[in-house]
Amino acid sequence: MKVAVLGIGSPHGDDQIGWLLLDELQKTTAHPDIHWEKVSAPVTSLVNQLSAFDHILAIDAADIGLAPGEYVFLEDAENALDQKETVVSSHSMGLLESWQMAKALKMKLPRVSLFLVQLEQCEPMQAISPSLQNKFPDMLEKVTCLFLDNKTERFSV
Amino acid sequence: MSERKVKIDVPSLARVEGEGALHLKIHQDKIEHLQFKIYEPPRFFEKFLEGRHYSEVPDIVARICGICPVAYQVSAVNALESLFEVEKTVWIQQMRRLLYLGEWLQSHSLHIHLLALPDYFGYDTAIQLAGEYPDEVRRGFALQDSGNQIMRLLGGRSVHPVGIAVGGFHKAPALKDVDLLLANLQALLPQAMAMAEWISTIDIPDQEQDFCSVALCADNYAVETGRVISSNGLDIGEAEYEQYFQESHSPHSTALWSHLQGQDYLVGPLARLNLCHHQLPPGIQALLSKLGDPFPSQNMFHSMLARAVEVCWALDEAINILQGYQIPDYSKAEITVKAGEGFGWSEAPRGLLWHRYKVNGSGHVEEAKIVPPTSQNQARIEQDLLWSLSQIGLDKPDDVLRLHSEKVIRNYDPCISCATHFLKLSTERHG
Repeated sequence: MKVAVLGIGSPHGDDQIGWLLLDELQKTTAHPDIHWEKVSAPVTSLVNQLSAFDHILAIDAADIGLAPGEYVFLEDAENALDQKETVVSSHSMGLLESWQMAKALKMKLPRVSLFLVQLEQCEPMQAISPSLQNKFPDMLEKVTCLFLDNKTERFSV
Repeated sequence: MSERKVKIDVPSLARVEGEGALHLKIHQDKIEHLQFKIYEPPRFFEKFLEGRHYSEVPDIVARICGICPVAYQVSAVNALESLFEVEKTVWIQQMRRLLYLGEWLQSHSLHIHLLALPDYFGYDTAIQLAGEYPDEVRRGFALQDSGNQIMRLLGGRSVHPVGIAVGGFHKAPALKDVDLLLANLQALLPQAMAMAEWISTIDIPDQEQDFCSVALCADNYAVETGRVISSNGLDIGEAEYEQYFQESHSPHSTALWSHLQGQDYLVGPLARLNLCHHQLPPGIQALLSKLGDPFPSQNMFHSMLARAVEVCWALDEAINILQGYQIPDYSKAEITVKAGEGFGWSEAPRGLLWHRYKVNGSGHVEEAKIVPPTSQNQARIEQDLLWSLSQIGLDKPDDVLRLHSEKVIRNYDPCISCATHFLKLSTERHG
């Protein structure tokens, strides 16, 4: 099974959380068959990459109406990606746009799981907010448990 | 006789990067008011650069655009290297060109297939187009990916690459990685040619208009440096830019407007082919002949074909560079900081991109000025809209006028986010 873990982010404030979690996750769960990648929007290469994997875990900051630092895990996010309306623009290609484009092109699609962390701010070149910093160990434990959950073999390779 | 008043507002343009709008008022089949508005908030990148060490500049300016970061990096290092009088080896010059070709490949392929083509087939979105033309769009993504592969080789990653340094590159790619990339690009060249042939068969409006083309010109087809020439006889170096090109504010735009001695002008793929197509190598000249070679052309809608031809050329040129690749003795020249002012430019996928930096004795930026292609094309876009709407007939239904206006604007591949970091904020205080 080919698995990819994508940390989606930028150097700006809480938008770094996907990169930071990926760095730590990679230290504890390194496996030669897992593809690890830090990506920034626009993720212009994702359409070509999607069909290369069986399962993708994407970790990203999001504004999802929670308290800063809280998170949600969508184990099977394919339906959510199908239903959200989008207009593809080269500069804003993200997971959603790439997913819908790959589907239109009838490409083989992977299973997609999303780990989304509520952000507080995305100020240019700033550090992550204290609220996210404080909850970082908890987030990391959660995402590591999800990743290593041998019972369900969610991400087994 | 009834009086016809038409007001068309496109409050948010789709399939362009950034936030722009169009306002059009027609009174008795005459355009009373037309504004191409850029209302995206200014981004102040020039201000961010003040106080930063010169070595940080390439990574900061890369963040101006996710599609053309290399253009910003190369124009910036050109300016700083000219100030510091850096002697660049042939290897460094060739690798800069190669990296830049990667950016042209990915940017042009995306614009053709995601942004422009839906207009010519009557689709609202590229996803609809992909459903009808999956093989062609898949091919477009494969071509785009070839550009990403080049950018990953030299830049470490395809978005906001980090390989470029003032003086050269942080490291040289390994031979095995070069060989792998070379094989991939060679396999793709016939597909690029087929794509250009397909684009040449698509019907475009037959509208020739008057405009001045401006582009860099060098010994080869100019990308990473050169002299600016124009179709009205201009021939200048980097330091002379501000003597001929003027920027001004307009109340309806957060981006500055550029004029060449008071006139609008065109930068970008069509301007480049109009001025430099004779420099293309024999293989690409043969392709052009096969396609009916319309260049030089005053029909703005030949821009898409110009991009397609540049995709073929960029792939061919990248193959040539990679075939001669050797590991260099060093990938980065030594830098001796010198206070003063440096000027640099290059041909971004969308056209000429000019930078100026004032640096102090410790190598920190005191002042920066950046003029991107979209702000240079702004005045041209408005002139084009005025002209081409009149050509198709102002008596046409509102939807036809709106769709044609959007097609005209998208044809320039405007990158509004690139253009909106120039607004000078002045505060008037009373009391």
